[in-house]
Amino acid sequence: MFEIRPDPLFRAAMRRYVIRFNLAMAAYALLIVMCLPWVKRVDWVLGKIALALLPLLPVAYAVRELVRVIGVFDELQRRIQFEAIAVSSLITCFGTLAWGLLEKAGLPVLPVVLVTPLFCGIYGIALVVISRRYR
Amino acid sequence: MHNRLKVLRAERNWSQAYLAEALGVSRQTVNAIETGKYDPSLPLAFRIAHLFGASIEQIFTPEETLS
Repeated sequence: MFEIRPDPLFRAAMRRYVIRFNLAMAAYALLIVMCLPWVKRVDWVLGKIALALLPLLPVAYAVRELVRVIGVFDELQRRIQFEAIAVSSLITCFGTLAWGLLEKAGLPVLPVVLVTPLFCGIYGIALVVISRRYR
Repeated sequence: MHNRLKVLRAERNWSQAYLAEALGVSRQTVNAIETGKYDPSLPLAFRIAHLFGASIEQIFTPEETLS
């Protein structure tokens, strides 16, 4: 299932992934700005749904590229990825649970759409911190 | 786990990058193994031993054995 990738091929795969991921995130941000203001203005229900979900297309592309690049990671890199995902999952779960409880105490409601960016941000930080442990 | 990877690599005048490519892993992984920050999986340990023409026990030593 997992093929061996020599270092230069891995670096090329990572470069490709970083470029494509950043392009996908730029497309996502652009679609958010362009589509969401029209969601309320459009009367047609299917049109509302289509416009609201359009920003998911570049996100799906980014996820596909992430899955592809994980396939070329070696065992240590996969371990680092797994640990980063585990840490960010736990922090996001605990943090959103805490926020949900604090909403009862009067804190503003946390928009659900912010949970994934929160998870991704914590994942990025965890990736850097965990990678340094293995240097 | 202690290992003699750095010594064996130096004896052959190999860079970490060269060893990484020969083993099919990243240079980061080779460095982590040499510094004792990461213990390789069994298949990788066997590849390392085969590459250096030695047994796994000649390259890797559990910490308890030394103490």
